[in-house]
Amino acid sequence: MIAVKGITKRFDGFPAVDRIDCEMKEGMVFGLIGTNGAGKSTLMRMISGVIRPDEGEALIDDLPVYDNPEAKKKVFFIADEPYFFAHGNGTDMAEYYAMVYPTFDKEEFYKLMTQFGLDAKRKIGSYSKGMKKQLAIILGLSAKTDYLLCDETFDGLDPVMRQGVKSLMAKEMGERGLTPVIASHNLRELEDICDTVGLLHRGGILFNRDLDDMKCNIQKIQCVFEKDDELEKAKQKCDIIKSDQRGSLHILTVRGGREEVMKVFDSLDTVFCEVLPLTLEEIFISETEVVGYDIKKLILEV
Amino acid sequence: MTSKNSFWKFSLWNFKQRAWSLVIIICGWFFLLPGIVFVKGEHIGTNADVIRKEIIADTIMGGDTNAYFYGLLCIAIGIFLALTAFSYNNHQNKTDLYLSVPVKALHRFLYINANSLLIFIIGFGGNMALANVAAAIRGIWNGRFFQFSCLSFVIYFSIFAGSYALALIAQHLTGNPILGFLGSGILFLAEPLCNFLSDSLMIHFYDHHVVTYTNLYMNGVLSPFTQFAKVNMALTYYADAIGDYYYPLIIKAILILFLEAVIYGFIAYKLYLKKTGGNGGKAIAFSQAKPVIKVLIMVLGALTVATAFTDINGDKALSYGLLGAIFALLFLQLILQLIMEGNFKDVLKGRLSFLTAAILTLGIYFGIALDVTGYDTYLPDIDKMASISLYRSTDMRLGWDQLYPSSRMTGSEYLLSTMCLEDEAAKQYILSVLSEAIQNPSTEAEGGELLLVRYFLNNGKEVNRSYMVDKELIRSLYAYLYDLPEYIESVEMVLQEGVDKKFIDPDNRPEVSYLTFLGQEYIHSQSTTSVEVIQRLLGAQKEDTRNRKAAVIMEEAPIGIIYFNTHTTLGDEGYGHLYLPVYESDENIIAILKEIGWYQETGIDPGQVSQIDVYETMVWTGENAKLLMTIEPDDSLFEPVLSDLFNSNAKLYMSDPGMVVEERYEVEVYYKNGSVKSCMLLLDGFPEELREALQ
Repeated sequence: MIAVKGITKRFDGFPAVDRIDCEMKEGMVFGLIGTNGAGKSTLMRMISGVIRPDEGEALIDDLPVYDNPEAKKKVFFIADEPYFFAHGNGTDMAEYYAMVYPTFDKEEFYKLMTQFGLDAKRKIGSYSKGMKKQLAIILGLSAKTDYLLCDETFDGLDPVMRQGVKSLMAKEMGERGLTPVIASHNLRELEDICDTVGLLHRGGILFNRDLDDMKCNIQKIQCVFEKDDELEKAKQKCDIIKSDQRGSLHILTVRGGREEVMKVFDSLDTVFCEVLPLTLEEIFISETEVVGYDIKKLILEV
Repeated sequence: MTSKNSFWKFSLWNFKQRAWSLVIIICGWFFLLPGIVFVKGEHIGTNADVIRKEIIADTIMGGDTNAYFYGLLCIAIGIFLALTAFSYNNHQNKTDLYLSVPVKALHRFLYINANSLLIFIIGFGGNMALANVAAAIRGIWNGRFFQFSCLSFVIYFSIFAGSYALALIAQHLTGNPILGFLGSGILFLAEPLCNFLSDSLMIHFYDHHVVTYTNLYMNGVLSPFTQFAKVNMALTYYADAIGDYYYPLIIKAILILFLEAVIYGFIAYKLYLKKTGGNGGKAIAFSQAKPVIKVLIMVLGALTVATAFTDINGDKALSYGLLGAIFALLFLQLILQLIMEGNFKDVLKGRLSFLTAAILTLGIYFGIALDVTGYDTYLPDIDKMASISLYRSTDMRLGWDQLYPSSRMTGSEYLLSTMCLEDEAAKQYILSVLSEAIQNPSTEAEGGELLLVRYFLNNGKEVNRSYMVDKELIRSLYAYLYDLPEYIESVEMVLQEGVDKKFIDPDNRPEVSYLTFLGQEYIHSQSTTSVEVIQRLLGAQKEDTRNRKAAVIMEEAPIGIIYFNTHTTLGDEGYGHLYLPVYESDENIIAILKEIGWYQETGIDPGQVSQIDVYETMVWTGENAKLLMTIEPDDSLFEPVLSDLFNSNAKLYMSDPGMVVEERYEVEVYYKNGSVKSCMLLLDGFPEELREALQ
């Protein structure tokens, strides 16, 4: 498990990360979402031991990570702009990582390179941006570490490649218990892969929730009331996060389990009432509007 | 924990990554060492002295003209390797690669720096080894060659190590290579620049400050550049084949350089640890260091400009200096804020550091200019002073350089460091004279003389000052000193240590002769190589010198010179020569001269003289001497003038000609036999009637 306890980092007095507490359990995919400047990269760097926190600590399997090779052996960090040796090729990078990570699997590396159609002998300087990202992912997966930190790794990958990487990660998770931590500003990208999502905003964590749990605990109700005061009754009986009205049609976002919420609405005088499916965006919008944050900035078309 | 096996793997990998820098260094030193030895060795022959100078001194040790070049090259390599060793710090994405992997920070620091040292050792040391091979191929190799190539390696490695460690501090303080390079320059030159600035300001504002080459370039222990200057001087002298004397200086410089390497390396390590990994690409890595660095640069820069402006107008020096300081402060505020913040809009920020720099700059400048510390009027308490040394230009008499190591130091430095008068009454008297000189300074135009003084304090400190002393005050001071045995022992050539060894030792094939100043001509005596006679004459001269009164030195002209010399070269110092004046009152030596038949009566026979012409010398204007008057034998001035004349050649051998000779006039004596002799007049017996007649 990766545990972050009260971690803070300031640059020139400005808190890039401010007293964050969270846990990233092993065997699950953790998504770290936030806009540019939210502190995602800084947090990832502190977890991987690149940056020393000003306060608090990051622990990997209860080992403090900063300047601790034993903890660092368990984690591989893929930066948003990964650096490769000048005039080097894929093989050179593999040699370097094989030297520092005892678990690095060169066979796996060359196999994945072939699978992705990359030439390990070709100079990395001649790779496209997408190819460099692919190489970084291949190196990360070949290191066979327990944790893989990916900082906006999926940006720059085409949809096919993105799916391929997701499949690989899922395979690694199943076979050896890899725990990926994926930072992104694209909510839709994370929807189909992440188990847990943390929302970072201005250096602080707004919430950190299990995705299924989030989906199960918010319902979208579409209904028409017989009387005007039935809405007030509904508000008293359940936690309505959001309420829209178009004529007599009410669209309500309600916190609670499906059965529990339907029981409440069954007790009210409604002309009709049905449950509609919610997207992750709608869940996020609902959750964040409560705290006054405009989540729409995070929604990008693929 | 990084295993030992992994540590060596990382070291080897890092070394391979930096192989390009090793290749450059190898190529550079290859031409300078084995290349030049091989080329020079072809034509040099087997003359040991030539090999010693051309190959060992110039090429291997980097002496003579190469000394500054080798040393500067080592400093440059040190800066280059320091800035490239940790260059990953300059880019965040590189930092991510190097710091995210499981390697201990200490191990990374150790293997990177160990490789830097190894690169220099292979590049320079390897080529030095090849130079030995080249020498052997040319048939000029020997044990001395090997010995000095080892010494050279140690010298230049120490310069490199000290420079590398200091540059490493600059590297860790900054976040890009250009600033790292500039930062290195500031750290290297801050100390010599401080010495230079304080010296320059003191020269301008103080009357009694003494300037020495040592003060300017070799005072200090903080900068490898200062140690390089010390070693450079020693190696340059060594190239002139004056060897062993400089080894203690070289060894001391080497030890200081290695100490600097350790201390600066430790500081660099602490900065390296403190760097938290998120500073990649920033101008200054630590925000707390920004104001400190800014103030340091601003103060040094503003003082430099203020010093330069001070010399523009002598009468308005302070105003111009202030103007220069303000201009420099504003300019540096603009430039530094741009560099540090990267935004033109931020040039007005950092007002507190600007104010601090301004206060420090103006405080230092005006503190020196207005002498708030009392530097210029300093006179030690007699209770705190162990001894005192004095130097006047007349102290360096003809042949004095035979008796002290002139190739290693100036005559003034030798006397100031060895005289050390301890007599309490003498110290008291000298201090009273100097106090008078401070209160009533003289000038050269007024006939004042420059006196250099070194105070040796009880706490071990040495303080140097110079004074322009009034002529009459100098006269009374030296009238006192010439009767002080301690002074005579320190300043008279014949009483110095080593005289007997040089001029009595039969192995040096000594010789002595005597030259009489006759009225008409010189008379050379016969010379003798008899060691017994030489020893007697030397002993007598010593005794007479000790017994000689101030009145003789300051009022009489010598009647002759006794001249000791050697016919065998004295190692690196050539032949020995010693010219000593003989006065009429020197009883002991005259007795021996009479005994061996060398003594001649001196003086001018009035009956042989037909005419005396008195000229004004015009030496200060460069014009020809101007005839002022002609004195015939029947003139009343004839006999008084004749009795005051002396052979003008004797002036060269006087202890203090300025006190003895009336230098405004020279006299031509015409003899009845047609010959003419140049003479001069003594101050003491100068006829008043003549002075009145000449006005």
